[in-house]
Amino acid sequence: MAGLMGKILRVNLSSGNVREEMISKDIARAYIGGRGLASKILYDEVDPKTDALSPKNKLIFAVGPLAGTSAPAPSRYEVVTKSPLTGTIAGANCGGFFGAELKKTGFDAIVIEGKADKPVYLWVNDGKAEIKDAGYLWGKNTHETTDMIVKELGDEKVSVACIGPAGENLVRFACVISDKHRASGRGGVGTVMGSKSLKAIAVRGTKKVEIAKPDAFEKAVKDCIKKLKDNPITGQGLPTYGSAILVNIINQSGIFPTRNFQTGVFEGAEKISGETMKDTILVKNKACHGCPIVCGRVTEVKGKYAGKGEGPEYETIWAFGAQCGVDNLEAIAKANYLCNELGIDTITMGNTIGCAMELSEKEYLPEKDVGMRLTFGDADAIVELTKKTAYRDGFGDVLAEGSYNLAEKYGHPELSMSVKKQELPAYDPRGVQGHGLEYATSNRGGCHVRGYMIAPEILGVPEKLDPLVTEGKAGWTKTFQDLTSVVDSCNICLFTTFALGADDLAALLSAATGFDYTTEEVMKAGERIWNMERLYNIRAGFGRNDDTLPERLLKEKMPEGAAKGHVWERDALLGEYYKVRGWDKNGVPTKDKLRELGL
Amino acid sequence: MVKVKFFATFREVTQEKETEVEAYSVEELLHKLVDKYGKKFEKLVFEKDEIPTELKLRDYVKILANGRNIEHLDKLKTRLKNDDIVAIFPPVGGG
Repeated sequence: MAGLMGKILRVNLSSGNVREEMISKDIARAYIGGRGLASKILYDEVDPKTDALSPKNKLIFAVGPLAGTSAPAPSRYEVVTKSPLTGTIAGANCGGFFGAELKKTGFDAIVIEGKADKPVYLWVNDGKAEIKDAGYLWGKNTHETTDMIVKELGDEKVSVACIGPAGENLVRFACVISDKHRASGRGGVGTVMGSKSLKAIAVRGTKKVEIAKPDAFEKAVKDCIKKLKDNPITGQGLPTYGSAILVNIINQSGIFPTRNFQTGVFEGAEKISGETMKDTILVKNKACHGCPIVCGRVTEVKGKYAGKGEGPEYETIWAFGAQCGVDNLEAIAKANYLCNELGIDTITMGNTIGCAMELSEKEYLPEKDVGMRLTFGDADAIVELTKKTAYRDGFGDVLAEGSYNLAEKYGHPELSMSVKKQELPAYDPRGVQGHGLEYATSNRGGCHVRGYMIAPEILGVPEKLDPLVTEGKAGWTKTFQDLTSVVDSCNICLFTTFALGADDLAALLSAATGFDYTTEEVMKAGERIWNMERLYNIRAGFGRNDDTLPERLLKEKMPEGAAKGHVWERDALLGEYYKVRGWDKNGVPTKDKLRELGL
Repeated sequence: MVKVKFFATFREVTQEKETEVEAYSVEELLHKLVDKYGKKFEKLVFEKDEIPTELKLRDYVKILANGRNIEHLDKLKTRLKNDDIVAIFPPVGGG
């Protein structure tokens, strides 16, 4: 097979059985690879009603046809499972080096089944796989774990994806960390890994990806790299300032959620901005595997919050910053380093602490339960509570269940800024109507990267849409969601889509796989993947009532800034969205739509 | 006076984070800023059209008047008044 390696590695941790399977060409063409392939496996094999932390759940790591090739930014891999945080399908996507190395082992996907009776890790080396003892790694953080595995295997080129103490302790939003600093962040994929007593997957490979039409592929790659270099965002903006450059523009646009989404303007934004980061803690830029954009940031903090690592990226700066009312960039960086070392999703962690701060300030959450007086702006608290959460120490045991369970426990679930119990990220939807629709309908709960409507509504890419207008946004959101399904299934970085479109992806995919995709077929594959994930969630019990936002964003008008007086207009958006998707009024795909997509 | 805020690469050219200018439209404001900060600033903001009198904003340069992108107001003709805030951004992205 070209593009894909054509093989799945299936590992049953209960029996210790390891076997290979072939991928059929029909599946490869229809679901592309990466997220599409992994979601298809989950859809076919894991009952949507399964308890996410039971051995019956499966954890699937997958890469797509462009991963590990010379395509631009081909570094990504996807982790798919049933989420212990939301109960929906979970898919977390990650850069770095692990994805490309996984592909070179000769497998497109690793399916983890069952549960080991003692801690283990999986070693996949050039087509061979072995389950190894991880007793000596249990309790170690992700940096220590990575170093110890590399040392044991005696090969510096081994890439490691692992969980930290948070995953071991079944914190509901634990992530998988690869190459020490990169996170498959959302939905608790690390929690599921911990529930299977799987500490890590280590990969090393030398196999080459076969390209069906090398000349056409080389030309498509060249065209894409030129577009990325010529585009002002991918060629200049992201390399110079990284994702943190968004802090100021989002704040100036009045949609930088502040103190648990009580307003959209943060008075301390300048102090935690990309500009400030460049002048203070930035050491150098760092690229993921094969990336011409180079947006990664290596940083170092000295003094009280001393530490070193990669990031914080925009979302993390917001989550521990404006969301918690904290304007101390060094403390935010420290909380970020801790999340990477302990294996915690930064968005959910920061958002949940912000929720606790509001509960505390409103006196719904007693001081004695927290063990300290918790108020917005407390820089030490974001660091301390992150540590406590990873170990479920004291109040950390409550935070480890996420903001929804926290707010519900204290009688105010409406103060959880989450959708389908997954915490919202760094844009207030009252001032970006289309982006709010993405939050409400994302198949993995509150999420910004499955249909990044900020691109057209704020950044003006590929067109300039007025963020406060609802008309036409349903169609745009659908297009962005379907396109992102393709990007996550090819496994190139989503940031390439600031410069590249579906026609570029079709050219790359066609040349790599030999399937002669048209742009239309590629977008249809994206739509198929989206609908399949939707069906999974419907069978898990989700529907129209869950496609909504927290009450605050529907009822409380934005108090200041450019979106002053606005709420998120659910009624104007959701019905139209179902229509353009070909779903019925309850949000269920119609029979005609399923037939059209071959589902 | 209108308060003007500069971000990212604009700061490197202006050498300051903000300034104040008397102007009654975005176009007038930008001309005054070009006078103040010179060619480098002009190059960051405008694309030179074939007809030199027709000024066009560079792709992805964003100008917000009180937080609203002028593209969704009256573009360069957007009116300004005392105490308005204008924010100027080069191409940025992330997520």
